[in-house]
Amino acid sequence: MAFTITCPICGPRSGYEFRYGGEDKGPRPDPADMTPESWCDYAHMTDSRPGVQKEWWYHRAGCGIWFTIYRDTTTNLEVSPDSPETVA
Amino acid sequence: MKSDNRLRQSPVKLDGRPHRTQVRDHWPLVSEYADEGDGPWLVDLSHCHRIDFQGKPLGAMIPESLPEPEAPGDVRIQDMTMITRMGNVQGCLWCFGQAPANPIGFNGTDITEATLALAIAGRHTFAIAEKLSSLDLQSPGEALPRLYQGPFARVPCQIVVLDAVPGREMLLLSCSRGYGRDMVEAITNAGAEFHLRSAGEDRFMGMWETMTRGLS
Amino acid sequence: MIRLNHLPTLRINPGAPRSFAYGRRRLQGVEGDTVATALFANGVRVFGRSLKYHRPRGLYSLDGESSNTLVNVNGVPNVCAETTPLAEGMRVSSQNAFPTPDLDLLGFMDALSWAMPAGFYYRVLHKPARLWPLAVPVIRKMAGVGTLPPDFQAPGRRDEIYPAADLCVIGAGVAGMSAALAAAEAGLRVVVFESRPWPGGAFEYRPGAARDGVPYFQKTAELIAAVQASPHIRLFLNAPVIGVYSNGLVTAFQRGRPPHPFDERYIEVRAASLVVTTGCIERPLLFDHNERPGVMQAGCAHRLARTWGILPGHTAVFSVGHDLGLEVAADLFDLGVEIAAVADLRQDGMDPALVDALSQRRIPLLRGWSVTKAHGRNRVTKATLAGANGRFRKTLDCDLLVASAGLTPVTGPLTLAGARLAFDEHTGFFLPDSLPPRVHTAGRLTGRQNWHAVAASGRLAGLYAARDNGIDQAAAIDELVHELGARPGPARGTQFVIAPGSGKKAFICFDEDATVKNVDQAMDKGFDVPELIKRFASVGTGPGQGGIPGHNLPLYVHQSGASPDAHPRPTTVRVPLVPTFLATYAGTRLDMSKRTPLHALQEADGGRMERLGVWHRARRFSEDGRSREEILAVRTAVGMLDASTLGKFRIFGPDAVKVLDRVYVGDMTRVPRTRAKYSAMCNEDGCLTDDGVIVRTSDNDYYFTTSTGRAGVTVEWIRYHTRFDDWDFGIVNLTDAYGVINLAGPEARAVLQRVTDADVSNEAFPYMGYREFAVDEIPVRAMRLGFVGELSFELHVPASWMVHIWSLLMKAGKDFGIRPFGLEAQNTLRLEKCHVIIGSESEQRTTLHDVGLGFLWHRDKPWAKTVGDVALRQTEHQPGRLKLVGFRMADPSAAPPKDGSAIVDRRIRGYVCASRYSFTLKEPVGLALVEEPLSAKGSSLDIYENGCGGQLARAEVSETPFYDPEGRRLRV
Repeated sequence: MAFTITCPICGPRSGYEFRYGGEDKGPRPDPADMTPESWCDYAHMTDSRPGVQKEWWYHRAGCGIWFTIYRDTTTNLEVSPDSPETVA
Repeated sequence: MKSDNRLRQSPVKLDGRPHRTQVRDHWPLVSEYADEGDGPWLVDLSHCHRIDFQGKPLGAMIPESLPEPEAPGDVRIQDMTMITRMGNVQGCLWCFGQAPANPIGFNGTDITEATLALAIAGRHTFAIAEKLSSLDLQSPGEALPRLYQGPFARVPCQIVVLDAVPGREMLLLSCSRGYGRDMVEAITNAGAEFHLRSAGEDRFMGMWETMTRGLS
Repeated sequence: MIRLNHLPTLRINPGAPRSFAYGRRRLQGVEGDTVATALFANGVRVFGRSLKYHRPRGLYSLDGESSNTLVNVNGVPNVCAETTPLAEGMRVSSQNAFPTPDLDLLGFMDALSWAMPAGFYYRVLHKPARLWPLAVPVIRKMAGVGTLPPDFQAPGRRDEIYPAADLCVIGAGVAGMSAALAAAEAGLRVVVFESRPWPGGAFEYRPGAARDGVPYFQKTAELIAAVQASPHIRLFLNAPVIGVYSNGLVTAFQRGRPPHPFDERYIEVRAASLVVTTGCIERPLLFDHNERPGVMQAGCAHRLARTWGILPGHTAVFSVGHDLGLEVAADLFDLGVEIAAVADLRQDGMDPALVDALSQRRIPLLRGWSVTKAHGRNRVTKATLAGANGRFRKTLDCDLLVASAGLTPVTGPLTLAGARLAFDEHTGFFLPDSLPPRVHTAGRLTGRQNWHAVAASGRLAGLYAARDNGIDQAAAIDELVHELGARPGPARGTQFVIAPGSGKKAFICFDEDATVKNVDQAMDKGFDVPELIKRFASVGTGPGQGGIPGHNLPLYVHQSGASPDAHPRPTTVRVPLVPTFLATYAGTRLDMSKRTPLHALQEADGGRMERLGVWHRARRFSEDGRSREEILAVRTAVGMLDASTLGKFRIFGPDAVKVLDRVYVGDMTRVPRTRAKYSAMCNEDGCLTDDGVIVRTSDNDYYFTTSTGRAGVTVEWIRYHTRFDDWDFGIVNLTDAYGVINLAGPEARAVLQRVTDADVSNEAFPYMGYREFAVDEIPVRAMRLGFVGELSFELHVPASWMVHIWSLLMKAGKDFGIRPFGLEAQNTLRLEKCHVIIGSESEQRTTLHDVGLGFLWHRDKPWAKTVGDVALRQTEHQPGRLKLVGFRMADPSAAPPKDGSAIVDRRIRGYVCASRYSFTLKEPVGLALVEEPLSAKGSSLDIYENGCGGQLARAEVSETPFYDPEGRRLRV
């Protein structure tokens, strides 16, 4: 298993240069009406479905930005954002 | 109070016997080492000014009359200064020889003290580099000079490949200051098989001049 | 032994002797020898003894496909003699043989093979468990191969290299070199891995010729010269591939050349395209005693002669199933080996030219015949051959039995790259029925054996790789496809595995001493697929990584009828493809760490340096583990701590304050200009992750500190939690830009005043104040903080000036008895003040409330969506949490309990975070996290310390802080 991740600034790089930031769950929810359960869902629960997912990565050994890619979790290959598979 | 002869300290210490030295802005510098050999060379440039700029649009943040590097990875050079573009809203100004001409302004941060700067130059430069980094520093598709941001000897670095002409190979390296001793050791060990030697600032300046003549 | 020294294909220099020791003997090889060829040339036939049965084993192949030739070299066990170049002065000895391989006293084990059926370890050595301690040492002694001394140090230098490439070619045979050349001509940067010490593969040493009459070796040499002349091709020789991964990653290592045979260089390549041209090895023929010394594969016998100039025997019997075997028989005859007979498994389909060649040499060719048994103990003396129906037999004298059933493609790298294999009836190979994108294959691996076809298929693969990289030479591709169609296709292969009437002593796997009978036993137990039989009967799980049995096992299982599959099914290939030292993976072993600007000075002052995270820091400055002198200096006079490792950041811009409000629990809209604000960061669970101070240096411009451990992730943390907000701010990590001196103690001000003209009086620079002033004309940022509980100045000094300013202060403080102090002293000092250290008084589950820092939380800033805010609200009054308390020992003369000791009350109800003897209070004090009901003042705590033998220590929850509870000393 080896990751190659395409940083929008630096281009394709070894996966070791990056930190995983989890599945994309959208912006922070409004704290006002959060129950412990709904907060726990937001903070910790993931879909973990096999297939293409949108996820966050941080180029920690490089340019230092957060960005999203689409990755097929069954092959560890990136998928183009325009690909039909990216539509969940 | 004011003491005489107060000196700053470079984050790195290179092997070798200094042949000519000088003090500039309280930095004790080696201009030339005895027996520098014919390359490859390792040069300490940590005293050179480096200013980080962040903001939008990036070009407007840099108070020097240099053309703005257009895309991340681009590098612009004029005389003794260089600007690298690190991202959409971040760039770095390098001044060799003297301090920046203009005040650095609100969006600039002097990071000279935060980082160390080294040059690896001369033949076998890239053979040394490929022992320390998986970055493709010689991609034929990229015009030089070019900035790479990534691990070198496991440490996140800014790497500027200045020249790849045989015999004139040259790259600049900067990373967190605290890694000074280990970084020099890693480069020295990797370079031993190629007879890497310490060289003074003059060696770099000479090669820089040759390179900039080639650029214009 | 006299070498053939006139052959154009030799890779040795017969004029350059190399002497080495073998056991007690002093032997001589020549430059270019491997350890195996040098031993063979000196008449060594038994190289070692097998794993379980202690059977004699000899040279069978030459590329490390089995453990037969594992030896000890210079004290290194399990060195493959076949792939290790001989160096002057080497010390070679045999393994697993007592006392020598020729006379092994454990040879009787072979007669006991009936007691060790398949699955022996699982079935027999199972119960009763009490026998294990008795059985294990005996088994360990008798089975296994080399011995590793406990103080073993792997010899040789190890480093690593990351060549950049667009195409990676595995295997530098004719196909691989052709592919590399075609791709390089198209402009690709090509890296080629070849596990042998020279390129050329299967054609490199062969004098045979295709129809054009030019010998293979000569044509191959021309190709080698072209590859070596190409500036775009990097050929790594002696470099076996370890693994192939997704995204084009290929890992390999390169062995050193003499005189440094143990040097190894780890290689990692990420290329857009991959071409696998690993060719074929031979598929063993199984018959009784098929691994007796003197039995070897055709290529082994041939290369011994052609490459190393060693005649493999005087009288040979051949039992083969492919044209290569016929070619070898004819050539060895020409070199002086007497060929008693050539048995060919095939009735027909041989190359007529080769059949002619044999008959011209009067070598009897037995069509449809096979060897069924090898005779002799330590070496072959006779071979029994039988016709297809087993009725006609003959036994011939020989000292060399060349046996191989067929060829088998080396598909490991290809399957690791994601190719799916299917059984091909024509070749009898497992061949890829589909290839992943940007993966190509060519050459003998695909079944082609004709030189021109192999070369053309290689060039085609190279052009496909160029196409992957955007260089499409469609016309050239069409032309090659056409040419290839006109060339001979894949050769027909046999599927013959085992000679009739044999099996009990027919070894399918040499490494694990597994016979065909063991496979039968596994099938009798109900195992029906090769993957499971492989596990149960230990077939192909040894150092050879399946090289010997990998193809035979599925064929045999299929032919047995036990398998439910319609076609033979291959077993799974995994990394590493070749045995690899962990030290080789570790490569250069760079362990990069940071040192503060004061590092050398701290060492010179007697600092005991410790590695903490990425940094080196001084723990203490004397032998005294409790740092008494350092503590007393701070409490009564003045001390200095190098706190340079603190995280330091500049954050600026119109939205900087929004960012701070997002990550800090406090209200950042009200950070005054001249004061430092103490605050904390939490994670989404409200658990404490960081604390530090924030100062506003000018409008929209802030400087803040983090704990040492968080410095490396702070930018990442901040950008993560603002990634949806498109806020306008900049952040710069200044951790290394400033050194930090914590000047602390009642005399701190007097010392500071001596080095600066700035007014540092309590009125001008009060507690929690922030000032910028000059020390010796050097700009310094100063804060009045009180982590150690005394008047203290935290000076942030430009890193290059640290040594100068530290030295100035040391000089200025000399009259006051100033001394450096370390982390141990700081820990005790802050413990007396009950100031928390994140990671000491907190762990993963500890919230801001738990450690009593809830007052830092500004609960009324919902607009900020502060990280942790929701959880802080939800956990504020949550029952059942551990709370931080201070404690004193019931017996003040007791020793402080060890950090981490459990607090028990029939069950564990908390733990000691830190406890030290307080020289100021003259008794131990400590902090502990305990269940809430135990946290009331005066509660009794029973502490279970590791090694206390059940003797609990009694402590009592006490008022905090222990020292200067009013905080007067900070504010003077």
